[in-house]
Amino acid sequence: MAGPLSSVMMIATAGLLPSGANDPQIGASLDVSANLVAVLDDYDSLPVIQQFTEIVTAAGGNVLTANTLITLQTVAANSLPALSNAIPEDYWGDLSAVAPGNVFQAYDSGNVFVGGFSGLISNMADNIMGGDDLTRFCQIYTAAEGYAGQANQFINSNLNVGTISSTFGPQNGGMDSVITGGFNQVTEAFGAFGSDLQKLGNLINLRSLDSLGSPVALIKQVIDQGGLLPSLNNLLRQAGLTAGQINSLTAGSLGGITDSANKLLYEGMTQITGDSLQQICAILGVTLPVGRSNARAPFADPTSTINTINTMADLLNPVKILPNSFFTLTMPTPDGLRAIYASQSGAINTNLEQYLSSTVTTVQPIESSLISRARQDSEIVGVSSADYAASLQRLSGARTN
Amino acid sequence: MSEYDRLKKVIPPDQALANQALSRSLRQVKRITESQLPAIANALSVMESNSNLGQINALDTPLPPSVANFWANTFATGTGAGNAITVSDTVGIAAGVNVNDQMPIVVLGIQSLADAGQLISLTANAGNAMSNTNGIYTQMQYCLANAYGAAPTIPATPYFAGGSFANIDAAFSAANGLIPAANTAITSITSVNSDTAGNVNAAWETMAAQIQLNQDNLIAAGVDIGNIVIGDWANSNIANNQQSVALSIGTRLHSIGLDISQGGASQFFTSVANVGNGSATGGSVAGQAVVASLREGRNIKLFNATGLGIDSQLSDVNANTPVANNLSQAQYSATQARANIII
Repeated sequence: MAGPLSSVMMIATAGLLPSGANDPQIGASLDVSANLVAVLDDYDSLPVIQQFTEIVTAAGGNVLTANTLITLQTVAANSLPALSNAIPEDYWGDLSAVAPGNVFQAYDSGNVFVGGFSGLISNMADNIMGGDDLTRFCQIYTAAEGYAGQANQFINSNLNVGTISSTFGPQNGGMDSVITGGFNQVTEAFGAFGSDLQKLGNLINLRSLDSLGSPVALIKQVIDQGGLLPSLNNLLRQAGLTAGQINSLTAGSLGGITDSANKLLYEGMTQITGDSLQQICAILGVTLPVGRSNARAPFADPTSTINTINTMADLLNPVKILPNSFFTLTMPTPDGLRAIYASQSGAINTNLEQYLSSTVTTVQPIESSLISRARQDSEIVGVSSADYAASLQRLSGARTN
Repeated sequence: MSEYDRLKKVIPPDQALANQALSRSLRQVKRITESQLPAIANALSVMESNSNLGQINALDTPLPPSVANFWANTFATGTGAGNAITVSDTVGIAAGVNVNDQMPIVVLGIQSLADAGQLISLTANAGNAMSNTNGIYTQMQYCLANAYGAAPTIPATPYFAGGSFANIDAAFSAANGLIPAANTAITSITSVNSDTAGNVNAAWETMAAQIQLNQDNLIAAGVDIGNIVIGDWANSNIANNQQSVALSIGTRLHSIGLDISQGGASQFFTSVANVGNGSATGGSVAGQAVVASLREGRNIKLFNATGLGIDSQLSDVNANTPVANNLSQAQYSATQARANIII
């Protein structure tokens, strides 16, 4: 059985541990960049720098006062600091953590110069690598890596927020749309809507939502779930579908059905009741109360106000199949989310027609239309005052539910 | 003709309108076509919204500008894509980032100044403390060596006015002393050789900026870089000999190898791996094993992508470890099972 570690990983890791690094056969895995050491040596070896280093070293040990020593170490800091190995004056404040007091900290008790700016680089590099203990480096690296990883999540998210911004706005419910994956544009009564959907089984094919409400799409869904029932076969033939069209339908195609044939299918569905309807609902997994005849279900809970599915055509009616939530449904429009139903009685919001019909040419923004009518009437045609108030609240983003 | 226009010829117009409106709503839901209705129904039953969170609902952008500016200005200070923070931004100085390429510019610049005789005001040395051609740095050395006495009298030169001072400290710090003279001389060198000085200063500041970037990010990471730089481990928050974190790094070498971004982890570890010159005798076997591990990690990724196998990972002998016999594992025997059946 393969383990996760390879031989080279084990050799490398031994060199991170003090016991391994001390073994000359293994050695230390990591060290300050050899190139860094070389370029710093090149600089420190310049005659003028060697000379200046000798000056500052000789000036230590209380030969010069502390203030004068500091002044000496900042020679040319604001003109050409490389000629005195000084920290650039512009960075005195910025590097206060690693070079306090604008110059190098007295690394030993004698206040002795330890190498100027190049010494700072060297010390920082040496000690980031842990000095003589690479486990110290591992701690520093792990902390740094963790910080960078966390910070980068915020940095990258901050950049990527533009992607969300392009579709974010009161038209689709703002932050609710973000945290609900867009379901807020369907309804905000998630509990009621979810409860209704739980009774629908596989009634709706989510892969062909553009066909929602189409009789032939419903028949295809039944066929997909349970095959072609005799009652549906009869219905299809009575609607005038050819054997080829029926075969095409059972093979998964929705094409080739004329609107007039589709209408005949719908009319036929209004005649499918009782046992046939029960059978279809069972195949689809629909658990709504089903009537045995074209009337309210005799066995339905008499205290229930839920409408009963009396014919197969009822399965195309949102009021019937979503009895607890249909009046909460909304549709996104350029003017914001709009109620699909104007009232809880099931009256449709005909204002939506302008957004869905290609034949309606006079498009007035629904909200301005509502406002102008509200100024004239206390009750807007097709829209109750309560729905109007809710609509206004949504526009202003002041939802209270 | 729209779907709605067709559908309202087929089913009652109000139902057609409702269905098409609902269809449009549902199609706003991300990846809804990849789901199933029962699964969505169950999820929706418990899905939550921003109900009663007025200020959240009132937001007209997903991130208010003040918040976006906060993150951009506070955290986005790195050199990675989109100002992301790279490994080099935190510990890159140890790999020579912005030093290995900048310090040679400095060395070359100073060498060129020296070769052109532009530094004699500092470094000229006639070999005699009393010479009137010595440079200021040279006079500083003589002064510290007591060549001018405890109350120094320093000769005048073309670069220093000379004078008598109460003590060595005054010879350096007085307004007419050696330090101000050095500053004046270097300012003159900078002015006369502005191009070279500009290049040297730019490189010097690039290195300073790298130190600052590492300093700031390590502080943000909670690392006590102030004490670490001076090797004061006892007062730093980094402990000695922490084997577990070293083991953790070791087990992640393959994944570290996969970060091949500029300034990323693989680049850093490659720079600090103790490989010597890559020969059989240079560096250490452990250092070369680090680089080998990084390469191995990248190869494993390649092999996994192509479906090929690689046998670099060692056999887990513990897979054959005997199972303990006191784990209280139990099953009904056939006899016990039969006895439990009610006839």
